[in-house]
Amino acid sequence: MHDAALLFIVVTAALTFDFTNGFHDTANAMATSIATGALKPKAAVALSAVLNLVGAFLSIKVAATIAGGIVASGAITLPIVFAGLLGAIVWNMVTWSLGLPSSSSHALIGGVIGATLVSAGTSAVHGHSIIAKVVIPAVLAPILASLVAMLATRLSYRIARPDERPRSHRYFRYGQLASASLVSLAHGTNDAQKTMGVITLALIADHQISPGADPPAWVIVSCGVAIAAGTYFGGWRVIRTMGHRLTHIEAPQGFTAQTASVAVLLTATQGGLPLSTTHITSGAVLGTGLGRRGSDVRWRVAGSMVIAWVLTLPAAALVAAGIGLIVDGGGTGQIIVVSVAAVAVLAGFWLWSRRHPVSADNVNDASDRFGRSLNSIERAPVLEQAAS
Amino acid sequence: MSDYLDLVVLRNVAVVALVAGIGITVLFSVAVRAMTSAEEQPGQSVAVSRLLAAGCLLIVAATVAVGLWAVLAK
Repeated sequence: MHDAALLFIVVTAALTFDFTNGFHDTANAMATSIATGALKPKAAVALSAVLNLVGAFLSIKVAATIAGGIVASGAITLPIVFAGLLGAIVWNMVTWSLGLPSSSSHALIGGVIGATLVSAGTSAVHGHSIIAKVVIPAVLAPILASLVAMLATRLSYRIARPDERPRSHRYFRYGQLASASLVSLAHGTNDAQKTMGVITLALIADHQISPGADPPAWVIVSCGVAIAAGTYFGGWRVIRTMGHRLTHIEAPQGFTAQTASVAVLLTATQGGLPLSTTHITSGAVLGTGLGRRGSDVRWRVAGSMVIAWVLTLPAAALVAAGIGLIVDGGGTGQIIVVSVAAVAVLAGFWLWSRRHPVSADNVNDASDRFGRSLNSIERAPVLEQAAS
Repeated sequence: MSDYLDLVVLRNVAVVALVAGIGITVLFSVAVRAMTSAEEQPGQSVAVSRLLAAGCLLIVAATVAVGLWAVLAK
């Protein structure tokens, strides 16, 4: 009975993580389309949700486990998975509150690492794999995506000359529908599987299915629905950052940023390079800002984003380690108490975010997370910006 | 870095991503230019512009389809 309750809590935590992954990453696919007016905000998140759901059913080949090779498989228990998931969820909520795009996958990996460290010690964590699967890809993804997007933007503006031919913006908006849809589909295919992997891992640890088995149908369906629901909920704060705060985006830039993201994402997946969707799309938006003559990149926002990326793994690991200390070796009762506390913390984040609400109605108002108009910040002299 | 990552794979991914990303954008931009030319200067050969745009978009669609197929069939 206790094991069943524990498994239920872990599966619930995994689906909650999947939900936060969905709403945190809506911006990856739809921020530029919403910013350029190619899609209305509600329509954009609805389209993205449907394609994430479809993507979840397209393939289950990577649903082994996200932390595979990073921690010793024998060290993983249900309390560790639970602690790792909570660490990732809390970090996702922190970055969402600040409107910063950060990698949900890295948060999950960090969470599992932190929980494993306190439970099984340093010998159970493979440092080599962390560098190969997390650190190097985290550096490469934004560089490659921004390079592709920057060059593509330059060429696109030279060829189509959208500044002289305003009608061309309409065609680029049509193109954005296709490119944003592809990013959503790829996101569903990649990220829903990660949660499928976590739940499958929990089921194996609880001897519900045998090692090496495919995820059961209910796992695939529930993960697809959770990520789609999260996507539809819409992480409007992150969408505003990607669409407006990082750089001003025109329709041709939106198209090139999304196309660059899809090209890098699909090529990396095919080549077996574990690059983060968030790092790729953020890098592409940055690159397209650099590629258009006269465009501006707000380096302070970009810097905050990079700091969040650097902090993601250690911060999620720290939270998970703290939770791991409480739940490891304890009973189901302790896990229930921690779950209730976690729900309270998440509710606190939500309430805090209501002080400066961002929704579909005001996502395109160019203001920062404190409600200050970015238009006035843009016009302010550089020294005043630095002082603010 | 070669201790951690297969540099050949990295090079291949970088080259293919650059070629695909830039190639698709360039083809789409050519299609957009052809379409806007056809609209703004109807005196010129509209049929040729539209044919050029359709050809570019077809290549783009085929490239994306092949890319998706390659990833999903892996």
